Amino acid sequence: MVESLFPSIENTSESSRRKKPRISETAEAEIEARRVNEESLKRWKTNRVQQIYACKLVEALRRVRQRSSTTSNNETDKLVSGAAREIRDTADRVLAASARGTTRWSRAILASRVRAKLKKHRKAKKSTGNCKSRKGLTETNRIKLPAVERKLKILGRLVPGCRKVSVPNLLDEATDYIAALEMQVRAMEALAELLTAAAPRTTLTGT
Amino acid sequence: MVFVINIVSSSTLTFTLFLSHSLSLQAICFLKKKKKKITMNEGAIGGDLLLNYTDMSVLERQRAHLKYLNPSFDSPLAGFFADSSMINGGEMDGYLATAGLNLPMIYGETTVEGDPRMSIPLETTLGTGNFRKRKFDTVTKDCNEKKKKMNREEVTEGEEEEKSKITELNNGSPKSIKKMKNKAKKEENNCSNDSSKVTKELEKTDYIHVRARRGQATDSHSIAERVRREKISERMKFLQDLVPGCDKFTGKAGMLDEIINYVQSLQRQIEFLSMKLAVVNPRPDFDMDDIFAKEVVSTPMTVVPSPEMVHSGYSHEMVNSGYSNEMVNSGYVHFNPMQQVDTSSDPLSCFNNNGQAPSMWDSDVQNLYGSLGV
Repeated sequence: MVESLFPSIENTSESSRRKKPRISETAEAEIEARRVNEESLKRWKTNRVQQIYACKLVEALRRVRQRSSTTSNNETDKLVSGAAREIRDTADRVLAASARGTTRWSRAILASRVRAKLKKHRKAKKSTGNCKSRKGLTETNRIKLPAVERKLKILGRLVPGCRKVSVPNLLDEATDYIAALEMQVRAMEALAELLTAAAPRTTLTGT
Repeated sequence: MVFVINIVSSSTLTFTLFLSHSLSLQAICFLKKKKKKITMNEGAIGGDLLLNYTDMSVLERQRAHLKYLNPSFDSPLAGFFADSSMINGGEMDGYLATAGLNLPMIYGETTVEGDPRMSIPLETTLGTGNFRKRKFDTVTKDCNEKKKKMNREEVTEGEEEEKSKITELNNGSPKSIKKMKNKAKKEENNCSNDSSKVTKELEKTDYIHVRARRGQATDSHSIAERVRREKISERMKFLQDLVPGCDKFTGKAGMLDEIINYVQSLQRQIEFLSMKLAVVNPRPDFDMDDIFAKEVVSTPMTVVPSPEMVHSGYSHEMVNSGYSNEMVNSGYVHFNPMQQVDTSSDPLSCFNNNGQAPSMWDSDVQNLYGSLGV
Protein backbone atom coordinates (compact mmCIF):
# COMPACT_ATOMS: atom_id res chain seq x y z
CA MET A 1 0.00 0.00 0.00
CA VAL A 2 1.21 3.39 -0.82
CA GLU A 3 0.47 4.69 2.58
CA SER A 4 2.65 2.09 4.14
CA LEU A 5 5.26 3.16 1.69
CA PHE A 6 5.25 6.75 2.74
CA PRO A 7 5.82 6.32 6.45
CA SER A 8 8.81 4.13 5.91
CA ILE A 9 10.42 6.69 3.73
CA GLU A 10 9.49 9.38 6.15
CA ASN A 11 11.05 7.58 9.04
CA THR A 12 14.34 6.89 7.38
CA SER A 13 14.71 10.35 6.06
CA GLU A 14 13.62 11.91 9.29
CA SER A 15 16.10 9.90 11.25
CA SER A 16 18.81 11.10 9.00
CA ARG A 17 17.53 14.60 9.33
CA ARG A 18 17.54 14.36 13.08
CA LYS A 19 21.27 14.05 12.92
CA LYS A 20 21.56 17.47 11.44
CA PRO A 21 20.33 19.57 14.33
CA ARG A 22 23.14 18.20 16.41
CA ILE A 23 25.60 20.00 14.25
CA SER A 24 25.86 23.54 15.36
CA GLU A 25 23.30 25.83 13.94
CA THR A 26 24.82 29.11 14.36
CA ALA A 27 24.51 31.86 11.82
CA GLU A 28 21.02 33.01 11.20
CA ALA A 29 21.40 32.56 7.49
CA GLU A 30 22.46 28.99 7.85
CA ILE A 31 19.72 28.29 10.30
CA GLU A 32 17.26 29.71 7.84
CA ALA A 33 18.59 27.62 5.02
CA ARG A 34 18.57 24.48 7.02
CA ARG A 35 15.11 25.10 8.28
CA VAL A 36 13.83 25.85 4.84
CA ASN A 37 15.40 22.74 3.45
CA GLU A 38 14.07 20.54 6.18
CA GLU A 39 10.67 22.03 5.88
CA SER A 40 10.61 21.61 2.18
CA LEU A 41 11.72 18.02 2.44
CA LYS A 42 9.15 17.27 5.07
CA ARG A 43 6.53 19.05 3.09
CA TRP A 44 6.65 16.64 0.22
CA LYS A 45 6.49 13.67 2.43
CA THR A 46 3.47 14.43 4.49
CA ASN A 47 0.43 12.36 3.80
CA ARG A 48 -1.71 15.39 3.51
CA VAL A 49 0.28 16.75 0.63
CA GLN A 50 0.15 13.42 -1.05
CA GLN A 51 -3.56 13.20 -0.67
CA ILE A 52 -4.05 16.64 -2.04
CA TYR A 53 -1.85 15.84 -4.97
CA ALA A 54 -3.56 12.56 -5.65
CA CYS A 55 -6.94 14.15 -5.60
CA LYS A 56 -6.01 16.95 -7.91
CA LEU A 57 -4.21 14.61 -10.20
CA VAL A 58 -7.16 12.36 -10.56
CA GLU A 59 -9.44 15.24 -11.31
CA ALA A 60 -7.08 16.71 -13.82
CA LEU A 61 -6.66 13.40 -15.52
CA ARG A 62 -10.36 12.99 -15.73
CA ARG A 63 -10.66 16.34 -17.40
CA VAL A 64 -7.91 15.41 -19.78
CA ARG A 65 -9.63 12.20 -20.56
CA GLN A 66 -12.83 13.99 -21.31
CA ARG A 67 -11.06 16.39 -23.54
CA SER A 68 -9.21 13.70 -25.39
CA SER A 69 -12.31 11.66 -25.85
CA THR A 70 -13.61 14.26 -28.21
CA THR A 71 -10.64 13.79 -30.51
CA SER A 72 -10.65 10.98 -32.98
CA ASN A 73 -8.71 7.83 -32.22
CA ASN A 74 -6.99 7.13 -35.47
CA GLU A 75 -3.49 6.21 -34.62
CA THR A 76 -2.90 4.70 -31.26
CA ASP A 77 0.74 5.56 -31.03
CA LYS A 78 0.27 9.18 -31.71
CA LEU A 79 -2.59 9.29 -29.35
CA VAL A 80 -0.68 7.58 -26.67
CA SER A 81 2.34 9.81 -26.94
CA GLY A 82 0.22 12.90 -27.18
CA ALA A 83 -1.89 11.82 -24.29
CA ALA A 84 1.19 10.90 -22.34
CA ARG A 85 2.67 14.29 -22.84
CA GLU A 86 -0.56 15.88 -21.81
CA ILE A 87 -0.82 13.74 -18.75
CA ARG A 88 2.71 14.52 -17.82
CA ASP A 89 2.14 18.21 -18.22
CA THR A 90 -1.00 17.96 -16.20
CA ALA A 91 0.79 16.09 -13.49
CA ASP A 92 3.56 18.64 -13.43
CA ARG A 93 1.11 21.45 -13.20
CA VAL A 94 -0.71 19.82 -10.37
CA LEU A 95 2.56 19.28 -8.63
CA ALA A 96 3.51 22.88 -9.13
CA ALA A 97 0.14 23.96 -7.84
CA SER A 98 0.57 21.98 -4.68
CA ALA A 99 3.83 23.76 -4.11
CA ARG A 100 1.76 26.89 -3.59
CA GLY A 101 4.15 29.07 -5.45
CA THR A 102 6.87 29.08 -2.86
CA THR A 103 9.47 27.63 -5.12
CA ARG A 104 10.90 28.94 -8.30
CA TRP A 105 10.43 25.83 -10.35
CA SER A 106 6.76 25.58 -9.48
CA ARG A 107 6.21 29.14 -10.57
CA ALA A 108 8.10 28.46 -13.76
CA ILE A 109 5.98 25.45 -14.58
CA LEU A 110 2.76 27.33 -14.05
CA ALA A 111 4.02 30.32 -15.92
CA SER A 112 5.21 28.29 -18.84
CA ARG A 113 1.75 26.95 -19.39
CA VAL A 114 0.33 30.42 -19.58
CA ARG A 115 3.06 31.45 -21.93
CA ALA A 116 2.47 28.47 -24.15
CA LYS A 117 -1.22 29.14 -24.28
CA LEU A 118 -0.72 32.71 -25.34
CA LYS A 119 1.90 32.19 -27.93
CA LYS A 120 1.13 28.68 -29.17
CA HIS A 121 3.57 27.02 -31.49
CA ARG A 122 5.42 29.89 -33.07
CA LYS A 123 7.18 30.88 -29.93
CA ALA A 124 8.12 27.29 -29.21
CA LYS A 125 9.71 26.87 -32.59
CA LYS A 126 11.58 30.12 -32.28
CA SER A 127 12.87 29.31 -28.84
CA THR A 128 14.11 25.88 -29.81
CA GLY A 129 15.89 27.38 -32.75
CA ASN A 130 17.51 29.93 -30.55
CA CYS A 131 18.51 27.39 -28.04
CA LYS A 132 20.35 25.35 -30.58
CA SER A 133 22.22 28.26 -32.00
CA ARG A 134 23.09 29.50 -28.57
CA LYS A 135 24.41 26.15 -27.58
CA GLY A 136 26.66 25.98 -30.59
CA LEU A 137 27.99 29.44 -29.98
CA THR A 138 28.84 28.86 -26.40
CA GLU A 139 30.64 25.69 -27.14
CA THR A 140 32.80 27.10 -29.85
CA ASN A 141 33.55 30.43 -28.29
CA ARG A 142 34.19 29.57 -24.71
CA ILE A 143 36.71 27.24 -23.20
CA LYS A 144 34.99 24.52 -21.23
CA LEU A 145 34.06 25.72 -17.80
CA PRO A 146 35.25 23.82 -14.80
CA ALA A 147 33.47 20.55 -14.32
CA VAL A 148 31.51 21.59 -11.30
CA GLU A 149 30.17 24.68 -12.95
CA ARG A 150 29.25 22.74 -16.04
CA LYS A 151 27.28 20.32 -13.95
CA LEU A 152 25.59 23.11 -12.11
CA LYS A 153 24.51 24.50 -15.44
CA ILE A 154 23.11 21.15 -16.46
CA LEU A 155 21.26 20.92 -13.20
CA GLY A 156 19.89 24.36 -13.81
CA ARG A 157 18.56 23.22 -17.12
CA LEU A 158 16.89 20.21 -15.60
CA VAL A 159 15.06 22.09 -12.93
CA PRO A 160 12.46 24.21 -14.66
CA GLY A 161 13.00 27.90 -14.41
CA CYS A 162 16.38 27.76 -12.80
CA ARG A 163 18.81 28.55 -15.53
CA LYS A 164 20.15 31.79 -14.22
CA VAL A 165 19.79 31.17 -10.56
CA SER A 166 22.62 31.52 -8.10
CA VAL A 167 24.33 28.39 -6.92
CA PRO A 168 22.99 28.11 -3.39
CA ASN A 169 19.48 28.91 -4.57
CA LEU A 170 19.83 26.43 -7.34
CA LEU A 171 20.74 23.75 -4.89
CA ASP A 172 17.78 24.67 -2.72
CA GLU A 173 15.46 24.52 -5.68
CA ALA A 174 16.91 21.23 -6.74
CA THR A 175 16.33 19.80 -3.29
CA ASP A 176 12.71 20.81 -3.31
CA TYR A 177 12.24 19.69 -6.89
CA ILE A 178 13.67 16.27 -6.21
CA ALA A 179 11.43 15.82 -3.20
CA ALA A 180 8.42 16.90 -5.23
CA LEU A 181 9.31 14.63 -8.11
CA GLU A 182 9.63 11.70 -5.80
CA MET A 183 6.18 12.36 -4.49
CA GLN A 184 4.83 12.70 -7.98
CA VAL A 185 6.35 9.42 -8.99
CA ARG A 186 4.87 7.65 -6.03
CA ALA A 187 1.43 9.05 -6.63
CA MET A 188 1.46 8.27 -10.30
CA GLU A 189 2.69 4.80 -9.63
CA ALA A 190 -0.12 4.13 -7.27
CA LEU A 191 -2.63 5.56 -9.66
CA ALA A 192 -1.28 3.64 -12.60
CA GLU A 193 -1.31 0.51 -10.58
CA LEU A 194 -4.92 1.02 -9.71
CA LEU A 195 -5.81 1.57 -13.30
CA THR A 196 -3.75 -1.24 -14.73
CA ALA A 197 -5.29 -3.57 -12.25
CA ALA A 198 -8.68 -2.51 -13.45
CA ALA A 199 -7.88 -2.35 -17.13
CA PRO A 200 -7.21 -6.00 -17.92
CA ARG A 201 -10.52 -6.88 -16.46
CA THR A 202 -12.34 -4.43 -18.61
CA THR A 203 -10.57 -5.62 -21.71
CA LEU A 204 -11.45 -9.11 -20.74
CA THR A 205 -15.06 -8.24 -20.50
CA GLY A 206 -14.81 -6.67 -23.88
CA THR A 207 -16.08 -3.16 -23.30
CA MET B 1 61.02 21.01 50.49
CA VAL B 2 57.57 21.88 49.57
CA PHE B 3 56.84 18.46 48.27
CA VAL B 4 57.24 17.04 51.64
CA ILE B 5 54.36 18.99 52.99
CA ASN B 6 51.52 16.75 53.65
CA ILE B 7 48.08 17.67 52.62
CA VAL B 8 46.60 16.35 55.82
CA SER B 9 48.07 19.21 57.65
CA SER B 10 47.11 21.58 54.93
CA SER B 11 45.15 23.90 57.11
CA THR B 12 48.04 24.41 59.44
CA LEU B 13 50.23 24.66 56.45
CA THR B 14 48.29 27.56 55.08
CA PHE B 15 48.72 29.48 58.28
CA THR B 16 52.38 28.92 58.37
CA LEU B 17 52.72 29.80 54.78
CA PHE B 18 51.02 33.09 55.12
CA LEU B 19 54.06 34.36 56.80
CA SER B 20 56.08 34.62 53.69
CA HIS B 21 54.92 35.61 50.28
CA SER B 22 56.94 33.20 48.29
CA LEU B 23 56.24 30.28 50.51
CA SER B 24 52.56 30.91 50.35
CA LEU B 25 52.63 31.02 46.63
CA GLN B 26 54.32 27.74 46.46
CA ALA B 27 51.85 26.34 48.87
CA ILE B 28 48.98 27.49 46.80
CA CYS B 29 50.41 25.91 43.78
CA PHE B 30 51.25 22.82 45.61
CA LEU B 31 47.87 22.52 47.21
CA LYS B 32 46.17 23.08 43.99
CA LYS B 33 48.24 20.42 42.50
CA LYS B 34 47.35 18.06 45.20
CA LYS B 35 43.75 18.69 44.49
CA LYS B 36 44.30 18.07 40.89
CA LYS B 37 46.01 14.81 41.31
CA ILE B 38 43.94 13.30 38.61
CA THR B 39 44.81 15.82 36.02
CA MET B 40 48.41 16.24 36.90
CA ASN B 41 51.31 14.00 36.81
CA GLU B 42 53.78 14.21 39.55
CA GLY B 43 56.68 15.01 37.36
CA ALA B 44 55.19 18.20 36.25
CA ILE B 45 54.58 19.48 39.69
CA GLY B 46 57.98 20.79 40.28
CA GLY B 47 58.12 22.57 37.03
CA ASP B 48 54.70 23.93 37.50
CA LEU B 49 55.45 25.09 40.89
CA LEU B 50 58.38 27.01 39.74
CA LEU B 51 56.49 28.19 36.75
CA ASN B 52 53.58 29.34 38.76
CA TYR B 53 55.86 31.05 41.06
CA THR B 54 57.55 32.88 38.30
CA ASP B 55 54.22 33.49 36.76
CA MET B 56 53.04 35.52 39.59
CA SER B 57 54.93 38.58 38.59
CA VAL B 58 54.07 37.87 35.02
CA LEU B 59 50.52 37.28 36.06
CA GLU B 60 50.07 40.74 37.27
CA ARG B 61 51.45 42.08 34.04
CA GLN B 62 49.15 39.87 32.12
CA ARG B 63 46.20 40.82 34.14
CA ALA B 64 46.95 44.41 33.60
CA HIS B 65 47.25 43.81 29.92
CA LEU B 66 44.04 41.90 29.85
CA LYS B 67 42.27 44.63 31.63
CA TYR B 68 43.56 46.96 29.03
CA LEU B 69 42.19 44.77 26.33
CA ASN B 70 38.97 44.01 28.00
CA PRO B 71 38.17 45.98 31.07
CA SER B 72 35.23 43.88 32.04
CA PHE B 73 37.21 40.76 31.75
CA ASP B 74 38.46 38.95 34.76
CA SER B 75 41.85 37.51 34.66
CA PRO B 76 41.74 33.85 33.87
CA LEU B 77 44.64 33.31 36.09
CA ALA B 78 42.86 35.01 38.88
CA GLY B 79 39.89 32.91 38.15
CA PHE B 80 42.09 29.95 37.98
CA PHE B 81 43.50 30.60 41.33
CA ALA B 82 40.16 31.36 42.72
CA ASP B 83 38.70 28.21 41.32
CA SER B 84 41.46 26.16 42.63
CA SER B 85 40.80 27.64 45.95
CA MET B 86 37.15 26.89 45.47
CA ILE B 87 38.00 23.38 44.59
CA ASN B 88 40.18 23.19 47.55
CA GLY B 89 37.60 24.84 49.64
CA GLY B 90 35.88 21.63 50.35
CA GLU B 91 38.70 20.46 52.38
CA MET B 92 40.04 23.67 53.68
CA ASP B 93 37.22 25.78 54.75
CA GLY B 94 38.97 28.75 55.94
CA TYR B 95 41.31 28.99 53.06
CA LEU B 96 39.94 31.99 51.37
CA ALA B 97 39.06 33.69 54.55
CA THR B 98 42.46 33.23 55.93
CA ALA B 99 44.17 34.30 52.81
CA GLY B 100 46.22 37.08 54.07
CA LEU B 101 48.31 37.08 51.00
CA ASN B 102 49.41 40.07 49.14
CA LEU B 103 47.29 39.09 46.22
CA PRO B 104 43.88 39.99 47.46
CA MET B 105 42.52 40.76 44.05
CA ILE B 106 43.21 37.35 42.75
CA TYR B 107 41.42 35.57 45.45
CA GLY B 108 38.62 37.99 45.45
CA GLU B 109 37.67 37.07 41.95
CA THR B 110 35.59 34.03 41.57
CA THR B 111 34.68 33.05 38.11
CA VAL B 112 32.89 29.86 37.51
CA GLU B 113 34.90 27.75 35.22
CA GLY B 114 34.98 24.14 34.36
CA ASP B 115 37.57 21.68 35.30
CA PRO B 116 39.13 21.26 31.89
CA ARG B 117 39.93 24.87 31.79
CA MET B 118 41.35 24.73 35.20
CA SER B 119 43.59 21.86 34.53
CA ILE B 120 45.03 23.20 31.36
CA PRO B 121 47.22 25.88 32.79
CA LEU B 122 48.62 23.40 35.18
CA GLU B 123 49.37 20.93 32.53
CA THR B 124 50.94 23.21 30.07
CA THR B 125 54.27 24.45 31.03
CA LEU B 126 54.35 27.21 28.56
CA GLY B 127 52.40 29.48 30.75
CA THR B 128 51.96 32.96 29.64
CA GLY B 129 49.93 33.24 26.53
CA ASN B 130 47.87 30.15 27.01
CA PHE B 131 45.16 31.37 29.28
CA ARG B 132 44.30 34.38 27.32
CA LYS B 133 44.46 32.52 24.11
CA ARG B 134 41.81 30.17 25.21
CA LYS B 135 39.73 32.91 26.54
CA PHE B 136 39.74 34.97 23.44
CA ASP B 137 39.74 32.56 20.64
CA THR B 138 36.38 31.11 21.25
CA VAL B 139 33.94 32.28 18.68
CA THR B 140 34.72 30.46 15.52
CA LYS B 141 32.92 29.04 12.62
CA ASP B 142 32.81 25.38 13.06
CA CYS B 143 32.09 23.94 16.41
CA ASN B 144 34.05 20.79 16.01
CA GLU B 145 36.98 22.49 14.52
CA LYS B 146 36.82 24.98 17.26
CA LYS B 147 37.03 22.35 19.91
CA LYS B 148 40.03 20.82 18.28
CA LYS B 149 41.62 24.14 17.95
CA MET B 150 40.91 24.94 21.50
CA ASN B 151 42.87 21.93 22.52
CA ARG B 152 45.66 22.77 20.20
CA GLU B 153 45.80 26.41 20.88
CA GLU B 154 47.14 26.13 24.33
CA VAL B 155 50.58 25.85 22.96
CA THR B 156 51.52 29.00 21.18
CA GLU B 157 49.97 32.21 20.00
CA GLY B 158 51.09 35.39 21.57
CA GLU B 159 49.10 38.26 22.82
CA GLU B 160 49.76 40.36 19.81
CA GLU B 161 48.03 37.95 17.54
CA GLU B 162 44.90 38.00 19.56
CA LYS B 163 45.04 41.68 19.82
CA SER B 164 45.31 42.03 16.09
CA LYS B 165 42.42 39.69 15.57
CA ILE B 166 40.22 41.58 17.88
CA THR B 167 41.12 44.91 16.47
CA GLU B 168 40.62 43.63 13.01
CA LEU B 169 37.18 42.48 13.87
CA ASN B 170 36.40 45.64 15.65
CA ASN B 171 37.36 47.62 12.64
CA GLY B 172 34.76 45.60 10.91
CA SER B 173 34.75 44.10 7.52
CA PRO B 174 31.54 44.55 5.67
CA LYS B 175 31.02 40.94 5.10
CA SER B 176 31.81 39.10 8.25
CA ILE B 177 29.54 36.57 9.72
CA LYS B 178 28.83 36.00 13.36
CA LYS B 179 28.47 32.62 14.88
CA MET B 180 27.88 31.98 18.50
CA LYS B 181 29.14 28.69 19.70
CA ASN B 182 27.83 27.46 22.95
CA LYS B 183 28.68 23.86 22.73
CA ALA B 184 31.22 23.30 25.40
CA LYS B 185 31.26 24.65 28.89
CA LYS B 186 34.69 25.92 28.11
CA GLU B 187 33.37 27.98 25.31
CA GLU B 188 30.59 29.39 27.34
CA ASN B 189 32.91 30.44 30.03
CA ASN B 190 35.26 31.93 27.60
CA CYS B 191 32.60 33.56 25.55
CA SER B 192 30.83 35.11 28.45
CA ASN B 193 33.47 37.62 29.26
CA ASP B 194 35.56 38.59 26.33
CA SER B 195 33.36 37.84 23.38
CA SER B 196 30.40 39.58 24.91
CA LYS B 197 32.18 42.83 24.65
CA VAL B 198 33.27 42.21 21.11
CA THR B 199 29.93 40.94 19.97
CA LYS B 200 28.13 43.85 21.48
CA GLU B 201 30.04 46.13 19.27
CA LEU B 202 29.42 44.02 16.24
CA GLU B 203 25.76 43.49 16.90
CA LYS B 204 25.02 47.07 16.25
CA THR B 205 25.50 46.74 12.54
CA ASP B 206 23.26 44.71 10.34
CA TYR B 207 26.08 42.69 8.98
CA ILE B 208 26.74 39.16 9.90
CA HIS B 209 30.04 38.80 11.63
CA VAL B 210 32.57 36.07 11.73
CA ARG B 211 35.63 35.47 13.60
CA ALA B 212 38.50 34.06 11.68
CA ARG B 213 39.65 30.67 12.69
CA ARG B 214 43.14 30.03 13.73
CA GLY B 215 45.54 29.55 10.88
CA GLN B 216 43.21 31.03 8.33
CA ALA B 217 43.26 34.31 6.57
CA THR B 218 41.38 37.05 8.24
CA ASP B 219 40.86 38.87 5.02
CA SER B 220 37.30 39.92 4.50
CA HIS B 221 37.26 38.38 1.07
CA SER B 222 38.40 35.03 2.24
CA ILE B 223 35.98 35.09 5.09
CA ALA B 224 33.13 35.84 2.74
CA GLU B 225 34.31 33.18 0.42
CA ARG B 226 34.48 30.70 3.21
CA VAL B 227 30.95 31.53 4.19
CA ARG B 228 29.78 31.05 0.66
CA ARG B 229 31.54 27.73 0.41
CA GLU B 230 29.98 26.56 3.62
CA LYS B 231 26.54 27.52 2.45
CA ILE B 232 27.01 25.53 -0.68
CA SER B 233 28.40 22.55 1.12
CA GLU B 234 25.51 22.59 3.52
CA ARG B 235 23.04 22.43 0.70
CA MET B 236 25.01 19.71 -0.94
CA LYS B 237 24.67 17.76 2.26
CA PHE B 238 20.93 18.02 2.03
CA LEU B 239 21.00 16.83 -1.51
CA GLN B 240 23.25 14.02 -0.50
CA ASP B 241 20.69 12.83 1.97
CA LEU B 242 17.95 13.08 -0.55
CA VAL B 243 19.60 11.34 -3.43
CA PRO B 244 20.22 7.67 -2.82
CA GLY B 245 23.69 6.51 -3.49
CA CYS B 246 25.22 9.92 -3.19
CA ASP B 247 27.15 9.20 -0.07
CA LYS B 248 29.76 7.28 -1.98
CA PHE B 249 30.98 10.44 -3.52
CA THR B 250 32.83 13.02 -1.56
CA GLY B 251 33.50 15.60 -4.20
CA LYS B 252 31.11 18.14 -5.51
CA ALA B 253 31.50 16.98 -9.08
CA GLY B 254 30.68 13.37 -8.34
CA MET B 255 27.74 14.26 -6.21
CA LEU B 256 26.44 16.64 -8.81
CA ASP B 257 26.71 13.89 -11.35
CA GLU B 258 24.63 11.63 -9.18
CA ILE B 259 22.11 14.34 -8.56
CA ILE B 260 21.77 15.10 -12.23
CA ASN B 261 21.34 11.45 -13.05
CA TYR B 262 18.78 11.09 -10.36
CA VAL B 263 16.74 14.05 -11.52
CA GLN B 264 16.86 12.77 -15.07
CA SER B 265 15.78 9.34 -13.99
CA LEU B 266 12.91 10.77 -11.99
CA GLN B 267 11.78 12.76 -14.96
CA ARG B 268 12.01 9.72 -17.18
CA GLN B 269 10.00 7.75 -14.69
CA ILE B 270 7.33 10.38 -14.75
CA GLU B 271 7.24 10.29 -18.51
CA PHE B 272 6.98 6.58 -18.44
CA LEU B 273 4.24 6.61 -15.87
CA SER B 274 2.31 9.19 -17.79
CA MET B 275 2.63 7.01 -20.85
CA LYS B 276 1.34 4.14 -18.84
CA LEU B 277 -1.53 6.18 -17.59
CA ALA B 278 -2.31 7.23 -21.11
CA VAL B 279 -2.40 3.64 -22.24
CA VAL B 280 -4.41 2.50 -19.33
CA ASN B 281 -6.61 5.50 -19.36
CA PRO B 282 -10.07 4.34 -20.04
CA ARG B 283 -12.54 6.22 -22.12
CA PRO B 284 -14.99 8.51 -20.40
CA ASP B 285 -17.77 6.03 -20.51
CA PHE B 286 -15.66 3.69 -18.54
CA ASP B 287 -16.83 3.56 -15.04
CA MET B 288 -14.05 4.39 -12.71
CA ASP B 289 -16.19 4.62 -9.64
CA ASP B 290 -16.54 1.01 -8.94
CA ILE B 291 -12.95 0.36 -9.75
CA PHE B 292 -11.79 2.69 -7.11
CA ALA B 293 -14.30 1.59 -4.61
CA LYS B 294 -13.55 -2.07 -4.91
CA GLU B 295 -9.90 -1.75 -5.52
CA VAL B 296 -9.36 0.31 -2.48
CA VAL B 297 -11.33 -1.81 -0.17
CA SER B 298 -10.33 -5.25 -1.19
CA THR B 299 -6.85 -5.35 -2.49
CA PRO B 300 -3.68 -4.75 -0.59
CA MET B 301 -1.48 -2.97 -2.99
CA THR B 302 2.05 -4.00 -2.83
CA VAL B 303 3.80 -1.04 -4.21
CA VAL B 304 7.50 -1.17 -3.88
CA PRO B 305 8.91 1.73 -1.94
CA SER B 306 9.95 4.53 -4.15
CA PRO B 307 13.68 4.51 -3.53
CA GLU B 308 13.90 0.94 -4.59
CA MET B 309 11.78 1.63 -7.56
CA VAL B 310 13.84 4.55 -8.47
CA HIS B 311 16.95 2.51 -8.15
CA SER B 312 15.65 -0.12 -10.44
CA GLY B 313 14.42 2.40 -12.93
CA TYR B 314 17.57 4.35 -12.58
CA SER B 315 19.91 1.51 -13.10
CA HIS B 316 18.02 -0.19 -15.85
CA GLU B 317 16.83 2.83 -17.72
CA MET B 318 13.83 1.13 -19.03
CA VAL B 319 11.69 3.85 -20.35
CA ASN B 320 10.64 3.01 -23.84
CA SER B 321 7.74 4.44 -25.65
CA GLY B 322 6.44 1.15 -26.89
CA TYR B 323 5.60 -0.54 -23.66
CA SER B 324 2.51 -2.59 -23.61
CA ASN B 325 0.51 -3.39 -20.56
CA GLU B 326 1.94 -6.83 -20.08
CA MET B 327 5.48 -5.61 -20.18
CA VAL B 328 4.59 -2.90 -17.81
CA ASN B 329 3.11 -5.25 -15.35
CA SER B 330 5.89 -7.71 -15.39
CA GLY B 331 8.94 -5.59 -15.76
CA TYR B 332 8.89 -2.28 -14.15
CA VAL B 333 6.53 -2.20 -11.26
CA HIS B 334 7.05 -4.85 -8.69
CA PHE B 335 3.54 -5.43 -7.70
CA ASN B 336 1.30 -8.37 -8.28
CA PRO B 337 -1.81 -7.44 -10.15
CA MET B 338 -2.91 -11.01 -10.25
CA GLN B 339 -3.83 -10.74 -6.66
CA GLN B 340 -6.14 -7.96 -7.47
CA VAL B 341 -7.72 -9.70 -10.38
CA ASP B 342 -9.00 -12.44 -8.16
CA THR B 343 -10.61 -10.39 -5.55
CA SER B 344 -12.28 -7.87 -7.72
CA SER B 345 -14.07 -10.10 -10.07
CA ASP B 346 -17.37 -9.00 -8.68
CA PRO B 347 -17.09 -5.34 -9.45
CA LEU B 348 -16.12 -6.40 -12.89
CA SER B 349 -19.64 -7.29 -13.60
CA CYS B 350 -20.78 -4.00 -12.31
CA PHE B 351 -19.22 -1.81 -14.79
CA ASN B 352 -20.36 -3.43 -17.87
CA ASN B 353 -23.91 -2.64 -17.25
CA ASN B 354 -24.12 0.77 -15.87
CA GLY B 355 -23.09 4.08 -17.18
CA GLN B 356 -23.26 5.84 -13.96
CA ALA B 357 -22.93 9.56 -13.96
CA PRO B 358 -19.73 10.88 -12.50
CA SER B 359 -21.62 11.99 -9.47
CA MET B 360 -20.06 9.22 -7.51
CA TRP B 361 -16.69 10.34 -8.59
CA ASP B 362 -16.01 12.38 -5.54
CA SER B 363 -16.67 9.59 -3.17
CA ASP B 364 -14.36 7.41 -5.11
CA VAL B 365 -11.78 10.06 -5.16
CA GLN B 366 -11.98 9.89 -1.42
CA ASN B 367 -11.40 6.22 -1.70
CA LEU B 368 -8.40 6.92 -3.76
CA TYR B 369 -7.11 9.04 -0.97
CA GLY B 370 -7.54 6.10 1.22
CA SER B 371 -5.47 3.98 -1.04
CA LEU B 372 -2.77 6.51 -1.47
CA GLY B 373 -2.50 8.14 1.81
CA VAL B 374 -4.35 6.49 4.65
